[in-house]
Amino acid sequence: MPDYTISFAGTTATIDYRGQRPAKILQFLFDDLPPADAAPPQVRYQFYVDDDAGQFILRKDDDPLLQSDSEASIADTLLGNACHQLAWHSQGGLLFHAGGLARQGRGLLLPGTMGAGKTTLTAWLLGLGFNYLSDEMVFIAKNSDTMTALPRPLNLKHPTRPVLKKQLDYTGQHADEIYSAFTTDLVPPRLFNPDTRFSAPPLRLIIFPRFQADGEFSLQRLSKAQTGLELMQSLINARNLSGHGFAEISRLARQTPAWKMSYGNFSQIGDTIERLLAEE
Amino acid sequence: MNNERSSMELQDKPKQKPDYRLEALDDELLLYHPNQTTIMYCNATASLVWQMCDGERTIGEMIELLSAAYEQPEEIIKPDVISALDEFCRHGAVQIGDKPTSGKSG
Repeated sequence: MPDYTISFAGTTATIDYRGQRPAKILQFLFDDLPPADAAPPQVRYQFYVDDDAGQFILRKDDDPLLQSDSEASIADTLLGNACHQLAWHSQGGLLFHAGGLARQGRGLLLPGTMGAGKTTLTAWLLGLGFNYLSDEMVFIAKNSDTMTALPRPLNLKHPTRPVLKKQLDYTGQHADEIYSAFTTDLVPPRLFNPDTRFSAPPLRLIIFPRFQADGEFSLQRLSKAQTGLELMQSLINARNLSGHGFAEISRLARQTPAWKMSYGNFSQIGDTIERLLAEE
Repeated sequence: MNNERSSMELQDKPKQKPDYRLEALDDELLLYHPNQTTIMYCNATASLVWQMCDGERTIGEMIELLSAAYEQPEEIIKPDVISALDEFCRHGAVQIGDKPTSGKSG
């Protein structure tokens, strides 16, 4: 079988596939990835169509993972599982649960746990002309400030559709380019910004977003220690790092300005993030 | 983790438990134990309190010193000192005399 190999954050996964339909899904999910390392994979997937049942088959290390006739469901499962495996084995630097964007060569990190609003905020900023890195995982190698990311389709939950309807036509012109699963939409970043260019910028600004519907806007500059505390809570691969990455977290906290931003809608944010990033 | 407020006397002598790693960032601290999954943030006052937890200095002496340093009455300083020590006890980062404190063991 031909294969896709994904190298990210110090680890590698390979997907052996067969058939045009699996190939199309893999192209949708992983075509923006940079060339992979030659390192042996930590995990290996098998992805093909069962011609008799007419269903997609997805296996991980030869164990069954999902059988489905839905392209969106299989894509969503493969993407989620691959990201989880890459994170589990990640080493050599700090892997954050975070959105990542770039503007004029400056990197912006949006760390946050599920529900903080980072993916929706990433999508909105992308629509303002920021360049996309990731909506989920950003890696910073040890002793570096360079942001590297997994440039996957944005994984947006259905309740965010009304918020982004000005940028996306979910049922009209963009319908064929979006994979809509049961609760989520996988959306190529170019639908928000057709000019987005993938890069690996230096980290210049950290914003911890906190979305609360109908909430007030607030912006709080964090001290270096507060930044370190918040970053530790978004660190995914602490178990794989010496000292759980504590010294490296502190290094980033010392050198990178950080803010905590609470908001109830995007109009409250305005050009705040662009100004803060331009100042750094 | 025990969330109850620890009982402390002014003559108690808090002592840092071993193996805590600290990072000083400006006048604040982050404390971390390699075998635990929590990290403690210490503001400027708590940082000073931590540094005074040498097993030799009483809580009362800490309050006196900080009162002089900040030029504030002891009754103003005392709650901050007790609060910081309480947080250290809750995380199991200090030993107060022979009294056991909570927090995950290593």
